[in-house]
Amino acid sequence: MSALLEVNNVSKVFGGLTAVDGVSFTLEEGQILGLVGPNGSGKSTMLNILSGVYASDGGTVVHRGRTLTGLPPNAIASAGLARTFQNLQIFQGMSVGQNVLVGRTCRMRSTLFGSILGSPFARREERESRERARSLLERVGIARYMDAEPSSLSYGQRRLLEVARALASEPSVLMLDEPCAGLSQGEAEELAVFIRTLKASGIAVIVIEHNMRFVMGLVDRIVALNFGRKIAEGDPRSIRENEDVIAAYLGRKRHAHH
Amino acid sequence: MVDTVRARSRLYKALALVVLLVIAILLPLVLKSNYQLGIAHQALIFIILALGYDVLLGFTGLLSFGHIGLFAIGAYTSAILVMSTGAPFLVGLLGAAVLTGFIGFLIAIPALRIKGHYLTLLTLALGEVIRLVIRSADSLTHGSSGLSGIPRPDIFGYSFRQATPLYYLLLFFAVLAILFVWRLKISRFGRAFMSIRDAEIGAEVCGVNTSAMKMMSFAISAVLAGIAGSLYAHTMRFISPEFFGLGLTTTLLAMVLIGGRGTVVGPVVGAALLIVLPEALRFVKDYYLIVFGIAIWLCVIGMPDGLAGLGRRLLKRARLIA
Repeated sequence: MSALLEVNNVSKVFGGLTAVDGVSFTLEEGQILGLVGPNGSGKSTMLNILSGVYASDGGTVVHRGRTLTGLPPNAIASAGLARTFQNLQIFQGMSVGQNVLVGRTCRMRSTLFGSILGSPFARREERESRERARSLLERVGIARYMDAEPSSLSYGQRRLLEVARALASEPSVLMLDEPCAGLSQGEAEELAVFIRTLKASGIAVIVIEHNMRFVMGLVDRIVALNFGRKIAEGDPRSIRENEDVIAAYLGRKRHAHH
Repeated sequence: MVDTVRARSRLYKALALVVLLVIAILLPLVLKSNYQLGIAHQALIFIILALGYDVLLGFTGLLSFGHIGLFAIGAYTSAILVMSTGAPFLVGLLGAAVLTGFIGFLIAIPALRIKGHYLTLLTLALGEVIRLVIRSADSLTHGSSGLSGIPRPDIFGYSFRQATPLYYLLLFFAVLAILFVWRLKISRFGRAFMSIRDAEIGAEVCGVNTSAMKMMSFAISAVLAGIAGSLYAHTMRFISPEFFGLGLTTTLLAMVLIGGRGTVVGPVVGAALLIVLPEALRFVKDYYLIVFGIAIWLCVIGMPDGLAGLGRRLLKRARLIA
């Protein structure tokens, strides 16, 4: 059986800097994968390639047998890959509910004239989308802010809003870029519980996170990057004991040079 | 509880709209002279133009300085169609809408690659090019002397030559434009436009086809400009290239900014205000532009969301006190 997502030998070069250097890994249905590594190791670049924000300079990304390489972000969203951002991309001028509704864009089919004239199809689609948006906001616990402006949300709640917005597109792969930043320990634990319910419903999750307690307790498998290269892959325990990973994080190699 | 608040605010909004509509319908009873009705005509036409401009500027966040060029193309297309081929008014109107929509679509193609100030400069140049082409195409447009004697609208034998029937015709189109833009705003397309304005990368990743949506936004705003242009030509009965200059572009921008961009009521209030105000301020004559400039300056500083935003803020405060 082929994997849900296959990342083959993907590279990205910025000027003279190779940000991602021939990285490969696979993701199975309903699996939670942690992408870890020190700052500048290429984690966020990897996520930007997977979501189509950056075009890769080499390699392929295959989702359910379909090659996504070179597709624009909106087509990748339609294919079923959704994400959140480390530096939030909230639509500040729209209500919390409308933010989530934008996330449903790639699942909506009503035409311009159908929407303007209120055709039965457009009305039903709009009503169903609204209900779905509300239930997603309920699941992340911010439904009471549905009609409020995002500026009235706390930083952590804005992260949850992005999660709800990403889920609105009914993804098969959800990519979270540092979801715990700005969350309290309690909120982070709630988020971990929530991500497990996603896994239970069959959604695969890729998570970038510096909070190691969060990552180790949550993920099924870890891919560790350093200087754009994959330095280790395995279950959380084996990664924790991996010499190269410890060296990358603690800089032991530098000590060895002395 | 939240739902009742929302339902109530929706009710207030609907009530305010009905009251406004009734006032608009009764207005010709108060406006006695043709001069006063003429100002009302212009206000209604500019409401349509400003609404279209708001779709581009307020919803999608694209600042174009070429919108008046589209307005001019609409006016000339309709006038030339009706005057030289004897086509009925509605054909002129339709022709104006189709041609400006198509040109708006064409303008959108470079606009997909060019962003921010560069896009604004590009559209500024396009607007001027349109004006110069109109001035040079002597045989078609009578150059800088302008087109005069454009007939008033005539629909299926019913003439709108008199000021009062014409007022109601323009009101009909203005109400249609308001309904259209309002429905657009609450549709998935309006949301897509606004998501591009607020966070373009976020919008793309959410599945918004930003290129297609920008093109649609340009085309919709251009069609509204074309309709407004056609109505303008057949209302004023005289058009010349000088009218469609940069000064009018600034006025249009001020209408949307002062009224409140990104809202439906904003451009309506802004357009009405900026058409009526200069007439009311006739007594300050040449100082008008100074007053006008200071007013825009104060608006941008004091109420960044325009009159519509100010109203919303006051409502919120009143609700907090109550």
